[in-house]
Amino acid sequence: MTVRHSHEKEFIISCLESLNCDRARNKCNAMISGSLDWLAIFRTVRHAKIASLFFYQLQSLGLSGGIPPAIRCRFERYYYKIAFQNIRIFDQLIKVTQLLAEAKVDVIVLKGAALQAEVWPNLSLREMADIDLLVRSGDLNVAERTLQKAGYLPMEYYRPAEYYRKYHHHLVPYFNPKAAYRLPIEIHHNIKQPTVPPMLDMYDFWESSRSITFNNSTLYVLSPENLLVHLCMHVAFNKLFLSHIRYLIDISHTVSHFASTIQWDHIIKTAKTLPLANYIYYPFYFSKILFRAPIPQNVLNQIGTRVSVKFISHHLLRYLVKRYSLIYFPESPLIPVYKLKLVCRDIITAAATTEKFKTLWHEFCDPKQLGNRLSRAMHA
Amino acid sequence: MENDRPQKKPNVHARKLGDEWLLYDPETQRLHIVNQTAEYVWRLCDGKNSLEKIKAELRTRYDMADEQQLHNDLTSILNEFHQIGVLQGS
Repeated sequence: MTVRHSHEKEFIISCLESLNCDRARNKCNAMISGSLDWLAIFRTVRHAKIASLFFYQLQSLGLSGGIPPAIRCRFERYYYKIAFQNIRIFDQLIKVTQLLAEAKVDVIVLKGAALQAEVWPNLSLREMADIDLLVRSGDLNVAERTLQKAGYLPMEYYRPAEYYRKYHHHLVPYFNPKAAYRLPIEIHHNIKQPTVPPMLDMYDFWESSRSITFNNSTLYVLSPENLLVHLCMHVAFNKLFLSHIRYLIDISHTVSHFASTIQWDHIIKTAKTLPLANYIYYPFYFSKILFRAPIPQNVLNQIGTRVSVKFISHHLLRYLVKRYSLIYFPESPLIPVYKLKLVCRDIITAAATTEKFKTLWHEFCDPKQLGNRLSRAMHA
Repeated sequence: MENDRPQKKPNVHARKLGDEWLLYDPETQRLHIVNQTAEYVWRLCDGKNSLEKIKAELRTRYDMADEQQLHNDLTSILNEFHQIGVLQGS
């Protein structure tokens, strides 16, 4: 199935692909001289939370001069805004890790902050919405009490704290009411919900963790292999690919960053024995086909032997991810992205059935539902 | 220039962003974008280096022969630092 994109989406994807591919660089050069709707480009990358990275990459390619001045100004402001936001996030991160260290709680920095501290070369390239920290299960209560003593408050507007305790892999998010930027701080005890099998033993994650220095502070992070496993799990379990391509870009860039030092055997073993093959295979697969992540083909093949997704479902998933990964809602009001995400989830968890697809298809084509979506879009 | 040994505010920190530097003041929650030369001056403003010493450092690093130009540039940078409130006593 060949997916046709607008020139704008083609340009965005080529630009991001060019992080790992020379041919994509030439394509960007050729495309920028043509007619592009720059406002649509800006809105799309901002919506996907990659505007800063996209602008940086255009600058690296020497193409930022091709952006119309008014849009270039918006990109620049956005770029500095993210840098400012990230500085404030790291300020809070350092404070929280110091608090927990004083309470003798070991902490591993996860996801966005870990990637920004080690993998991305510039402070503005990775947008973050929260701070994710991993503590040992036995330290969870001490960690929570420490935050509470320091004046942090729970954010219970989405779910009550007990819900998180029972069903989630992290505590209810906490925030500092005195901070200028009310940032959710999520204290994890695992990298995956306990309600979805298989259970993950965090022992290896702790054993292989490493220390890095960021702005004169020491932070603990996962090993490159476990960082990749975590990113894969996060995108496959929680974000379900669509409208979250930044996680695929993270995976692609993390693989490029650590390159030959990655112990692929460790990842293959994790994927096969736990078993997590579907959850690791697809994020790798899409990072490779969309952003040329330098993941060895034999690694994909080996993990692929354990993937339990049928041929047709595989191609449907591939189509959906390629077609809807970069979606800007107001431009595509009739696409029920949420429903498509459920399809992706069902395929990955191997729960997809013909009946489920039939129901979805009927919902998708139901004139009343279409009318509702259209009306919502017109009021958006 | 009011102070012969300018000193940066202890809380303000500098972070690199591509070719530029950001000076962030957590107290005022303000961010200032400065170039590499200004960041170098910023690093030298430790309360120990005199203006003459800072000038000498700049002269060597940027190979600046024009004394008047050097003086003007340094004055302009320090005035800017005072205005944005990143130096002690500003």
